Amino acid sequence: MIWNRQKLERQLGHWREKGWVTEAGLAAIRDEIHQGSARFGLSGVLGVIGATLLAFGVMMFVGANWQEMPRLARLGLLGGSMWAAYGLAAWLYVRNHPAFGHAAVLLGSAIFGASIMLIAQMYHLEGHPPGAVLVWGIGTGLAAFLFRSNPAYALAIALAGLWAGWETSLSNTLHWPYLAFWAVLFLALTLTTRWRAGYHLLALSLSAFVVLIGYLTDVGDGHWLTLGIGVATALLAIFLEKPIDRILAVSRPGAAYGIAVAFAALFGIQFLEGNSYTDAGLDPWHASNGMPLWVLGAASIVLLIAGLVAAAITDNRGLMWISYIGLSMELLGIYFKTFGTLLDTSLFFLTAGVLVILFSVVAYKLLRRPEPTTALEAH
Amino acid sequence: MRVNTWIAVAIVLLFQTGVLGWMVYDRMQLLESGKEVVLKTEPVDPMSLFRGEYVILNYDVSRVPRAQGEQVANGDIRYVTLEEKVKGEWSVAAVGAAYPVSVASGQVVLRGKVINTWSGDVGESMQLHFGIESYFVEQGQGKVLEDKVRTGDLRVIVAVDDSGKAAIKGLVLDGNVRYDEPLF
Repeated sequence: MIWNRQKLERQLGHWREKGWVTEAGLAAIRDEIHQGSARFGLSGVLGVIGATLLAFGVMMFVGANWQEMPRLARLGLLGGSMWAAYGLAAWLYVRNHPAFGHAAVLLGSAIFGASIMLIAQMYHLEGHPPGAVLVWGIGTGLAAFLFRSNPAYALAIALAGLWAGWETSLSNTLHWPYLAFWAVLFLALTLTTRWRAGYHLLALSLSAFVVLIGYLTDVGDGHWLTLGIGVATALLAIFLEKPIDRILAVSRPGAAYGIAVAFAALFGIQFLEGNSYTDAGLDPWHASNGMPLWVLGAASIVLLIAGLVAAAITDNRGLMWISYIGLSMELLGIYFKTFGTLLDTSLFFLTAGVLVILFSVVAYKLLRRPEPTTALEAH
Repeated sequence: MRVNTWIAVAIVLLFQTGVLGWMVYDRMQLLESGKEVVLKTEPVDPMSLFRGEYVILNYDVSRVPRAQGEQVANGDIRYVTLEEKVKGEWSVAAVGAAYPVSVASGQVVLRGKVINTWSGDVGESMQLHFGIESYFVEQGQGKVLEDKVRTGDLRVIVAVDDSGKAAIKGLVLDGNVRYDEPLF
């Protein structure tokens, strides 16, 4: 990651000037960063891209359904290349080329999926397509776990999402078994590589599921459940930061995902569900569930400002950006939804503006308190 | 937790090859030992993303009547008993929510999933899927098959096992029987 390296480089110079690191230490650090990133970063990424291209080639080969080659030969070709990919992976791991080994595992998992499709095609097996995706995902997750392969984890998480999404679109109801698969992948990742990007993928996937509760739950208004889960997650992540991070360092992104999910629920109630003001006779200042829009809008702004405050206190950049983006979306949403009643809209924005400025003054006074020394200790 | 690399390879290959092997074995069993029926059909030509071209087959026996006021939801399972009333013409003899207690020797039972229901002037009816609605063909052949069928007559040879599970065994196009190449 170039940007991080540049920042670190500046800081290293700064630390050297202060005498915190020796010249030898500086050289060692630079060497380590340079080696690690160049070897792992570039070759790993290229290896994964190459594996992905090969995998698509294999799938297209299956798709063409080439009848010139007997069925058994086609199956043998796929099975043989699957064995070869995993064999190559093992050889690369043993020879201590983990980045290429991961790429080979990814390729093997992709060929596994292609073979499932080929067999379905050979026997005109329509079956239940998401079921095939689930089996593919389980096989890939197993490979990711045993080989400690992050690219394979990424594929398995994506397949879990595809499976649940497909099932959901077929039945138009939430697919709860998804949570079990999600938990297994989470546990596997935690027991092995603890890959941060993997946790982000899992969090994104789970967030999408929780947001869908709002739209697909028949009992009551599911958005309130989504809102509750989001707020509870954010509160837990912010107030139990230390105990959570002692087990697994996820509290900071957890707070950001929580606020994002909570806001997504409020946004859905206000702007996406049911009637818009264009529906005849409906007041733009009321949400589809009958609640006054200004109450929901005020709740959203309070939620997002609370997010900003928490971000400032805990120095959580992700949470800060989520809250800023949410605030912009909220304000634009209200603006467009109430476009027909500009005077009321203007009143809402004026009131909100005055309140937020008042709040910022209070926050300024409160947050100035910590002495520079304690602030330094906290870091 | 670290697993020896070669043990990892062995477990992954055992699982993944096992899944593929089981899929093939299950189908071969059904095709070899299932009872054969021939069903009249009409194709429509779509394209499956990864599985190449296929023809969607609609069967005459897919749309069956349901009892007046019978509650049926999409995804429910129904068993259709087929009978060969005229030689080579299989038609619906009975429809039920459970597998029939006794099946006559000339009858075959298909297990179907409800995908649509109708009611109104035409009477109460429902559309079933038996899992034999897709026929995969080589790239470019879907349209050809469809054109041939528009002028001719297409029947599908289906193998059915004792639980009602069905698999496509081959096609009969204008009376010419064309079995699918077996795996072995």
